[in-house]
Amino acid sequence: MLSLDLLIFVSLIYVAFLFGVAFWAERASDAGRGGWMRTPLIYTLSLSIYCTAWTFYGAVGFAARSGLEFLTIYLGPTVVLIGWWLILRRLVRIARAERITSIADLLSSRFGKSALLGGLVTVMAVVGTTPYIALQLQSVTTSISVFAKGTQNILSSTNIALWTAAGLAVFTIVFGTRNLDVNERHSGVVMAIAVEAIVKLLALLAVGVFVVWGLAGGAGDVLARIDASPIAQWEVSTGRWIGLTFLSAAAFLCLPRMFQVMVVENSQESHLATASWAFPLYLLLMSLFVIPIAVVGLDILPAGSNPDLFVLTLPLSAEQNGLAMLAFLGGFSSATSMVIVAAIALSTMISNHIVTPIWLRARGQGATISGDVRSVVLTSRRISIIGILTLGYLYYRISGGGAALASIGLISFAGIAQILPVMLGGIFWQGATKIGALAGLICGLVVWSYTMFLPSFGPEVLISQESIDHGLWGVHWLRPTALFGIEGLDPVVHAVFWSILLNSFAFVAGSILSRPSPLERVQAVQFISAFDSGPSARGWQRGATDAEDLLSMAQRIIGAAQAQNLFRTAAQRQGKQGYLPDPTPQFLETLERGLAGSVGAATAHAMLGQMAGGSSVTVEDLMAVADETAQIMEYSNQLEAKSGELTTTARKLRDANEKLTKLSIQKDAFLTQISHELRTPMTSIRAFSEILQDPDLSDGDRPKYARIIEDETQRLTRLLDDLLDLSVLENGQVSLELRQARLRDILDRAQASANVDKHIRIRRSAGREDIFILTDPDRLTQVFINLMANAAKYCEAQQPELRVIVTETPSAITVDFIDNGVGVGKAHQDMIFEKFARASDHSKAGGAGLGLAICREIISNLGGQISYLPGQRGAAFRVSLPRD
Amino acid sequence: MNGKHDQTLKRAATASRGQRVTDSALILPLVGIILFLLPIMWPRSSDLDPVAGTATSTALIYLFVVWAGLICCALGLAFVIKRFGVGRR
Repeated sequence: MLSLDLLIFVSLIYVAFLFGVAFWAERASDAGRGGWMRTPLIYTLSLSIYCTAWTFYGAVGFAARSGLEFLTIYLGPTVVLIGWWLILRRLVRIARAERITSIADLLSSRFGKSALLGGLVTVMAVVGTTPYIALQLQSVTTSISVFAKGTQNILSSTNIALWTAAGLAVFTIVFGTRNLDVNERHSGVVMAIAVEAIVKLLALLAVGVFVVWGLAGGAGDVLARIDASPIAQWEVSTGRWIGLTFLSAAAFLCLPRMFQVMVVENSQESHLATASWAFPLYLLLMSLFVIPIAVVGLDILPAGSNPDLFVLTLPLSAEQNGLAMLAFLGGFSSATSMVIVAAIALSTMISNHIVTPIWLRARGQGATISGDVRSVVLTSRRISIIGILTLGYLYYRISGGGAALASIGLISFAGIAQILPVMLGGIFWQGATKIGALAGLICGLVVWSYTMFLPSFGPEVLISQESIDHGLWGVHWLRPTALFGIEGLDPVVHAVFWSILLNSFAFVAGSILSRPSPLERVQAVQFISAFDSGPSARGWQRGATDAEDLLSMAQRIIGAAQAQNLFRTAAQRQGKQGYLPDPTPQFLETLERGLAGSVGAATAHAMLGQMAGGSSVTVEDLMAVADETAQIMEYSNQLEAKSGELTTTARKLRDANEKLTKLSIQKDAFLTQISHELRTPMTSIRAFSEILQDPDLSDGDRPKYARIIEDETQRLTRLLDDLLDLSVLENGQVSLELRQARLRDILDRAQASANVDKHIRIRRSAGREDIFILTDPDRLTQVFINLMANAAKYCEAQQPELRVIVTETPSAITVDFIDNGVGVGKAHQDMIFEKFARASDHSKAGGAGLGLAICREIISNLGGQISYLPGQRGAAFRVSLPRD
Repeated sequence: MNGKHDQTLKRAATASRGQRVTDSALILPLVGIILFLLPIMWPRSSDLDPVAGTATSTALIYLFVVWAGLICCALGLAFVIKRFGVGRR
């Protein structure tokens, strides 16, 4: 029997060897000699972390219990890898283009860089991975206890688990968080797990070869033993065969650690092509001897032996201590490599999607002020790693390590598989939205918890026996093992079927019923059209960002050397010397993706957004800009309207100015006119006054001259009266005394006052004049007198005659004054209403020429109008008065 | 003229090969799924007729042969893709 001390000693040597390999790989990579580490072979070997202790020990146990069913766990990933062209290639392409750091980052980035979604996926991943880590700790403990059997136990099983967890935490922290790589790749870790992959494959093959050709009598004998064994018959249930194959394929795509090695650590797309056949081959080799080991174990070992440990107990039973040691190291490798990568992947997710967003929010302007983002991220990752391993350890302690390995693994797989519908929808369906993704994930998580996770702790721990038997709240069709009353399904198939179905349904329904945000739309296009290498749709704008500020921020996040390298390369590409490239949109985009490799897409975007301030252009910003543009356009429209108004006003002002100019000219003309009008009588008055002073003047002449002076004075007075009258009327200062009056009375009075009957015959039709109107009768009389006097004065007919015709229309009363003279010449018609306008010569008129001007003002004050009526064969004036 | 014609032919041949490779890359996983799911239709032993069931050893050989066959196909496809660079579209 192998001594426990030797076992622990060899294990420690092995661990030291792994540390050495990882350290050496990191050194080589740093020195630029790491090219050969990026080979398809290393890539394929790193994928082997899919084969955990569950595979190494559990597969044999699985096979011993259910025959060939264990193969489903490998057939699913085989199909996924063979179909790499369809899904994996797309995932790798997207992850490379978007600098995706984890599966949470993938979904967060796809659905509008949603921090919420990233956080949710992270929580799901932690919940789904914790049992799995516990499983690895359990396998290490159990395998050591095999050797400890019969010897004095210096280490209790919990101690072993604790020390293993602690050792793994140290390794992971040392090599997993050494730096923040822009690509989030870990040469040392990848190299170490590649070595472990070889060790576990060799160990299992060695045990298999020993079992087939050492214990049994070759391949033929093994086949015969199979036919004679309890698992001789093909008894796999259809549901489990399909369900488990699907589940393993889904988990292979969604497990955080698989995503880490397969997508994030992928350095070249062509490595996938190699892995597409090489990894299925690895799986084939890993499972080749599982059934033989199980069958021989069942055959040789005493009944009741734990089939999960056949890999160890078979060599031990044959006293093959070296082989048993190798087998132990194989199992140890399987467990540790899984825990290391899972811890790295989860810590990245936790720091990028939970810690950093919260920290950034708490700091507000965080990234732009002082503070070492880099140290925050690294510290949060280290703490996360410790936290994850502590959780795994606690789960192991609480669950007591009782359940069979396979069932714990399946619970984990089913939990993680809930991400699949959203992930596939995200990379193939442009219509998928964040709301849909959240709905699907939450729905899947709830159904999985209820049907699988909570019952896995056993009755009365987290869920009551009552609920298990009769459904939640006694609702029969809510029984966790028979949802909707469908009984008879295998519990795993039942849980997977309902959780994935309802998850997909909620995802599709949510996506169809909700609208994506602008950023989601852009990211959707980016993801769906990953193979159209067009320019990126999202963009940064050359703005006020200072390259130096950017450099100092980048140094804080990805480390001085890497940041300087990135900046110098960018500067060289721009044809510049030194470390400071122009902050062109292309450079900002490169930088964002570089930062995204360290802190996740959402955080990198937010940080660069804070840094670049207003110059960062997300689609939301573009929308804002568009809003602004709309505002500017509206403003411009308003300006245009105002400008139009101003033009109108200007035109009005110009018109007014013209009018004023005209008025000014008229005023000048008026003044000239009035001076002239005043001067003529004054001149004669002065002349005759001088003559009157002449003593030689005869007495007969004296009264004659005095009368002339008097006449002229009267004329002056009349002129001044008229002027005064006109001025009052024009200024609107006249006070009208409106009252009801009969038109005939007004005309009678006017005819009497005009006193022109001996000069002209006035013909009226008294019957029509019997109309009452509301007017100022005195003023109206004045107008009529004027018109009658004018007719008498200017009518040159043999027998002058003036017809006064009154007409009633619904809106107005018109009074026409038509004489039988020659009328007014066409040239004068326009201006007879102007002041001092006279159609004939002055001497004859005997007035100042203000009569018609006054008439017009009076009538306009009365609300009517007076106009010359052409075409009446004599002078004709029409006075229109409004009806009341 | 002749060279140009040759070039056109070559390009057409490359395009056609690219299409065929892409098609087979998409069909291969489908073939894998069908072949892997085939065993569910095999007869199973029952209490009434215990002899009619399929032996685990037969199933084992079938599954591993199919598996190996798929790996060979994937290997061939990967070779073609790497050699002619269809994957670097």
